[in-house]
Amino acid sequence: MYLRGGFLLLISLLSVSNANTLQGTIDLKRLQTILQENVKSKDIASLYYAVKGLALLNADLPNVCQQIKDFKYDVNNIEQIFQLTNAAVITGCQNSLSPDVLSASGAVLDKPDATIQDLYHAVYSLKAIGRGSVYDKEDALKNLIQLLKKDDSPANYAYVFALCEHMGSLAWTATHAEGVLLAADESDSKALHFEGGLPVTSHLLSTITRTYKNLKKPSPLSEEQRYKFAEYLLSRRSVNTAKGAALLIEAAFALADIEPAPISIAIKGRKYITSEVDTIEFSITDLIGRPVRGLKPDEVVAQSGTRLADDVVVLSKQPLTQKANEATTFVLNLSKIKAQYGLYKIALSAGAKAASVNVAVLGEIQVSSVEVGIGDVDGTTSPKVTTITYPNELKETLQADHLQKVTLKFNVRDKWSKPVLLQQAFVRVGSTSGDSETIFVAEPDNTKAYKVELNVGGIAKHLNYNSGSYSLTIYLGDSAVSNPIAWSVGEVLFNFGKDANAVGAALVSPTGPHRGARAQIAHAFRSPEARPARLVSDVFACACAAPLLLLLLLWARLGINFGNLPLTPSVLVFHLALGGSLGLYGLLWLQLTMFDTMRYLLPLAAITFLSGHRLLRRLVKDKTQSR
Amino acid sequence: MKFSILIGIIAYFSLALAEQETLVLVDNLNIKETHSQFFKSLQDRGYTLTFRLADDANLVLSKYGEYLYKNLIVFAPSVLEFGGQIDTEAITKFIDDGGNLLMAGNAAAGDVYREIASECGFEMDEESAAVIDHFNYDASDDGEHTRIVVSPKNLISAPTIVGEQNTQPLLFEGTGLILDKDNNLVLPILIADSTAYSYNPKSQVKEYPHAVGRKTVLIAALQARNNVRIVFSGSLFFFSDEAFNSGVAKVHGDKVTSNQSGNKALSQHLSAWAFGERGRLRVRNVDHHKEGEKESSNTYTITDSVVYRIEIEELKNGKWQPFEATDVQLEFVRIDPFIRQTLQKKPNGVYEAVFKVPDVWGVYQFKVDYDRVGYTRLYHSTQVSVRPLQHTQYERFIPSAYPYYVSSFSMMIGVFLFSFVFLYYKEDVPKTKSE
Repeated sequence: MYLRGGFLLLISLLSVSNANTLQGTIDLKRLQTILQENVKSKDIASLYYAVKGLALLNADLPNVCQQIKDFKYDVNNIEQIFQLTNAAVITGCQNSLSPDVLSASGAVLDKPDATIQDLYHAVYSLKAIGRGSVYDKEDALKNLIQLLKKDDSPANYAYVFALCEHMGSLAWTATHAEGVLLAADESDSKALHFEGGLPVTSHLLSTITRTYKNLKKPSPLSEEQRYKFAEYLLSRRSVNTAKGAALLIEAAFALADIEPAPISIAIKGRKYITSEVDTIEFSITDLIGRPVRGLKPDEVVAQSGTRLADDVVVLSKQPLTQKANEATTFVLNLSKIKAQYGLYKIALSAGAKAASVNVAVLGEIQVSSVEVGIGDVDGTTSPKVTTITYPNELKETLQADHLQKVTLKFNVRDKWSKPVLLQQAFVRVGSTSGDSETIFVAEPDNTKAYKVELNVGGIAKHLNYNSGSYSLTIYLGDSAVSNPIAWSVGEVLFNFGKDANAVGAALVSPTGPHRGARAQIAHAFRSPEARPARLVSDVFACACAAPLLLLLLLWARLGINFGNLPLTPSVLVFHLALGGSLGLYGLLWLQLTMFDTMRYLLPLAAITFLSGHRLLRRLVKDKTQSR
Repeated sequence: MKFSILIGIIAYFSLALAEQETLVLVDNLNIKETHSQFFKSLQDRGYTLTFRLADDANLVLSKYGEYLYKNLIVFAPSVLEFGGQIDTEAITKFIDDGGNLLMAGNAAAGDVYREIASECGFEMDEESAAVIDHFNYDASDDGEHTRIVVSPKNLISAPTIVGEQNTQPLLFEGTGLILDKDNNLVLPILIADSTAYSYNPKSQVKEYPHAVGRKTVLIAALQARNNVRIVFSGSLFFFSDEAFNSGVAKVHGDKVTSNQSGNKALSQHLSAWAFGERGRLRVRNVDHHKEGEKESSNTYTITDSVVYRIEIEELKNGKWQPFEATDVQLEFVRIDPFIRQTLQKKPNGVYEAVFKVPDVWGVYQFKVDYDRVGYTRLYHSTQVSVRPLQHTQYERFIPSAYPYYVSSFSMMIGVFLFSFVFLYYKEDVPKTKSE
């Protein structure tokens, strides 16, 4: 039975030792600078948290009494009063406080509907000015429990615990703390925090730890909880407000003071070794960067080291040496594996704790030369090979057309001229004129020699069928390589044959909307029809007038008379009307519309008709009379 | 009247408020704290952020057919399936109905991410693949060279999206995207260098990587046809406080160092663009009339001179202000554009064009279609008819026609004169014969 119990204990110990350690610490120095910057703040909250944090760090507190005296605060805002009074206590400036803070706090306590938060602030304000005894144990706790029933958020528990601490009801805290701790939220199954974030988490952790310390009881936090809370605090280490910094410090101190405190195992500085520097430094500390209590230097051992690529174990049970003068720094010598590049996983144990870290063994690579061969695709002729040594470039531009292929062959070796394989062995074919590029992966053969075949006809589609000059660049890189190589080999003139575009003219995809300004379009107006020269039309106009002139001329020659002209009014009327009708045509041409013309023409025509009739009758009458 | 103004004002404010409602889906609430600076910058700009776990069973985007949020932020790469009523289809519908989306993943992002990405026109690499650059990684890298330093030169040249002063190097750690190059709506906001590739960092490159070189897009964006904006980042780390605050120190190459990365500025610009704070255009007023007249008309005669004015406004700092550009174009279209000309900029965001109507009659449209990278598409068309000349509007005195004029008038004069001769001419009777 005992044996079995012991066995179970062993198993649980083993499982505990497999629990993750932390991988970093909270940088108190950084937080301290944030706090110091905020001491001169005009904001009561910033000042309070700044001095609170500095007091926790045992740093020098500046004299802020004058500031506290000058603060404008709202008497009804109990939180501000709390911050002001407590800042005053921490800095020893109680005398700078005005007496109305006392009455304000008292008023809150008398209020029937005060929340737990208000009560906490009021009580601790009073405590700060030395009137703490006003709020007493008896009814108070019952009242608080009533209030808690209404809203049992972790934040409220934190305030009640703090009030219990003040009232001396530590036992009540002890009975409820574990329940509250179980209510913590877990994120990523890695970190624990309370609803409300850092303020609530910090407040609860510090009050619970303080209470248990006063009760001289072991902390209610299980080891797992401690690590998870510590993990949460680490995730918040980038805070940059005074409030965040002070809360983080308070919580970190609380966690770091619990026995056994969570420890952190992290690489200090370089995460890789090279052939020159073959040691790795680890820092093994508690959460706030102090040496781990009770850790003997010879308990720090590298249990095993495995290469990630093939799981080969390369070291086991190698002790670390403590660095002189630095209690937290341990050095692991890895000279055994410095020639074998790659990523290694080192399992490290410090006392009962273990952690595994990844370490890279970096090495230099070298490439001596590349063979650039240009041959026919069908392989009928032997390729023409040019060898270029690193880091030179091709002297002349090579040419290849769509029936040929370009082959690049190279070996990558490590420092000891042993061929190695790399993660990245690419050849980039980039246009020398434009931005277009295509990258090809070089593949190693059995002898670890890398080779790329560029079938010129085949790669044309990746390069938009633009024949022209292209540069070849070899990229060699690996996560275990300390000197990645980008080697510009030279230029090749590709001719993509009949599929090719003219050099420089890129294929434009016609689909889809077009962005950007487009070419302007101007409308081409129809050109007016050709007209003869003015002179020609004038000459013809004269020619057209010629018959009339000829008529007049001939009449003059013949000698005309108006012997039959009778003397009646109708002669005048008829000719005026006829002339008017003809003149109306002239007006129609110049300005009138057809309908206007018709309107004027109708009466004129009637007059012409009537008077013409009369005139003719007269003429006939005259004729018959004269006969 | 007053009442309607009041309603208008209320409607305006409620609209403004609704625009700021943003749902943030996260893996765990810790992201709220690790990315606090990014969220704070959003809150400072007036967004109401609602944080929810991505697998929360009560997630809803809309209630009674109304969307509860205008914008959606998904910072939940490890989610396997969204909870509640949210799935790829719901998010696609949200986008179709006018909601903006900002999404950030990482190398571990699951298939939900891949589905949404491909709905938006991006293609995300397989799970566990990350963008690796052995030449441009940061000193804080963990040994796999996945925390890469990207030069601001690799940003798209669109100040509306990325802001004007991006000089600090950017830190990126996450997965790579590729874009369909035939899709003109997607934009590569940030691309990797030639030396980068996207692959599983733990293995040798055996197959051709999903994205290589400059084709690897780190942050992509889409402005859909309904002017909805989507920003998809392969890296959630990009928006974190750690990336915002940390300095940059490139290990190889030009050894770029900087005290602060450019992530903070770029993230703010990107979110401002994605949620429609910038790059939004609207037409305030359009006016067209015959040159020399004041009244607008919807009928023009061929070869008239027409003046077209359009007033365009841009949303800047929450206010609609005159838009400044030099490349706004007007098209005068009858099936095909007959005229396309760049509008002259006048004060107060007014753009003006004066042109002669073509001598082909028909039904035309004045069209302004301003589609530029980073701006919402501005499209405005007005229909007018263009008719031929009236019969009185043709040329009257053509020199070449003088022969015709002269002929007709000479004939008319001839007739007039001839009437005298015809009527009154007295023949000389040969007296000898009769007498």
